[in-house]
Amino acid sequence: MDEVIKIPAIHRSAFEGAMEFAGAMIQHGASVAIAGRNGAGKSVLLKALLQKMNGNVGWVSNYREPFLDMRVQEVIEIAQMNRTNEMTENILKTFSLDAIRHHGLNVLSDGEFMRLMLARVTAQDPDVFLMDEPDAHLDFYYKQELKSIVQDWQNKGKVVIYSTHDEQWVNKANQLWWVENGKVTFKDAAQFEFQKIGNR
Amino acid sequence: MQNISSRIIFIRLLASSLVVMLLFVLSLLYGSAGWSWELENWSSAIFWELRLPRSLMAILAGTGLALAGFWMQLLFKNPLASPSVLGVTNGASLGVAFVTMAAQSIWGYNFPELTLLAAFAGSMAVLLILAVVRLRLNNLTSLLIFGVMLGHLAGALETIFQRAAARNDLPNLIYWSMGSFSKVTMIQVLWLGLSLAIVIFIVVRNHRSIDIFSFGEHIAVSMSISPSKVSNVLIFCSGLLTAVITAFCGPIAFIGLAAPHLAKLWWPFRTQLKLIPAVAITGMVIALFCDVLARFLDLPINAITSLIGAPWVMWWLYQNKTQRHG
Repeated sequence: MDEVIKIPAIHRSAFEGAMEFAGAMIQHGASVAIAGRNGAGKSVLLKALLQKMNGNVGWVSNYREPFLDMRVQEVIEIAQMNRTNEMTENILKTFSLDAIRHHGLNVLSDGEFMRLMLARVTAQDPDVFLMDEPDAHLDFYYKQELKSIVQDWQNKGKVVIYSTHDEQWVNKANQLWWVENGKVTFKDAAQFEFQKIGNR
Repeated sequence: MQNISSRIIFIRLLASSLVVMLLFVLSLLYGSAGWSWELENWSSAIFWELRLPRSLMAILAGTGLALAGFWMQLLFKNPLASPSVLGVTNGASLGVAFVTMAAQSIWGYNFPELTLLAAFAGSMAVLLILAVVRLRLNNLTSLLIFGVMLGHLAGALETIFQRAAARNDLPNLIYWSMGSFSKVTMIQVLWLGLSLAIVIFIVVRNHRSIDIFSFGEHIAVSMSISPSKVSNVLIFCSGLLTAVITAFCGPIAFIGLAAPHLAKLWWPFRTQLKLIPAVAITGMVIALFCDVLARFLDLPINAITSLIGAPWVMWWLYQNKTQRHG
């Protein structure tokens, strides 16, 4: 395994949705927070990275495909490259999904759906996680749970890149990519305060 | 469907298979000559050349249409998609209109005996146009609209042919578009069986990709699955089945639309591998049931499928209004 994971640069014209990103090197086990105002281009950046990074990349967002009524347990089974019942049961338990394992995706609440998406990406077991506001819709209990789950991933050497509007999530990241008008600048994550940005 | 015990699943599968067999026997026994229980009839030409191919065709066409509709609904993420949504059946219809009506003004003769070939060629022409367009058209919604427009175009040409046709040439097309499982031969049954085998083989080989495709474009890309490759597989598979079935039986409505929804009502699983058998069985049951009923009431199959299918879709929409999520 390489020392660092190389995140590709992105240069996109305004026509495709403007995005200027110089690329980055990330240590294994490190995390990156992507922050910025509404409409700054956080999701555009994540989607552009997804398109550019080949291979096993995890994707989490709260986007729900219409007319998808697959069952919770089936989703977790399909996500595994080498399926084992033990793995399925473990993940169902970790994300407290075992009680609703036979529910269709169309009847899940937004929070349950988010948990399922996190469970799915855990089952996929990628090297890099790309997550668009992974704590959206989660209740206070699972917001805390998510922190330890992400820490687990990092302990296993995975790179976790997420967009967030939560200062705690920004401060605990190793890097902060600040997005403004489709331009990405690098900032100090630990000292970051949303207050100081102000309304501009 | 909260608790899924393997016993319940087994009983449902057994019961539905029994229904298929029951309807199959019923369909074999009932014909234009009325009921026939006598054993000597079973070895007659009526049985081997008329009733057996017809019943087998109902089973295979029901399966094929149900699967084609299932994949179209999955591809376009639209519960009202059906095998005909991309204009394949309109293409077939135009082909039939051409050989039974328009050929006269070009060569001085019509070729109603070429109906089957013309229908297949028409479907294939539509599929070919879609394949070429697909090279540039990546957006599935655009492709869907393109297919619907193609269907309208074929329909318009067909109307022009009809207007220009001699009066006694019209019934050919009208009777063809009513649909029928009779008038098929054992060879045609084998051809459809072969097409089904090929299509199911392709889908089973790609079953995980198709399941992942249904999660949406981003997740598919993240798991190294090409959404456009999966869409092409689904379009090819349902296109081929629809083309073959329409050539042999005419445009059969509603089975492809309703069967996937009905299957989901009695079957708890949703992955390709586990849902295909249920969709297939449901298609068989509807096709056999409608065929027996159509012959019993002496009505065209399309009248029966629509009489049953239309109220079903209305009920389904009405029922689901409260269940839909934001």
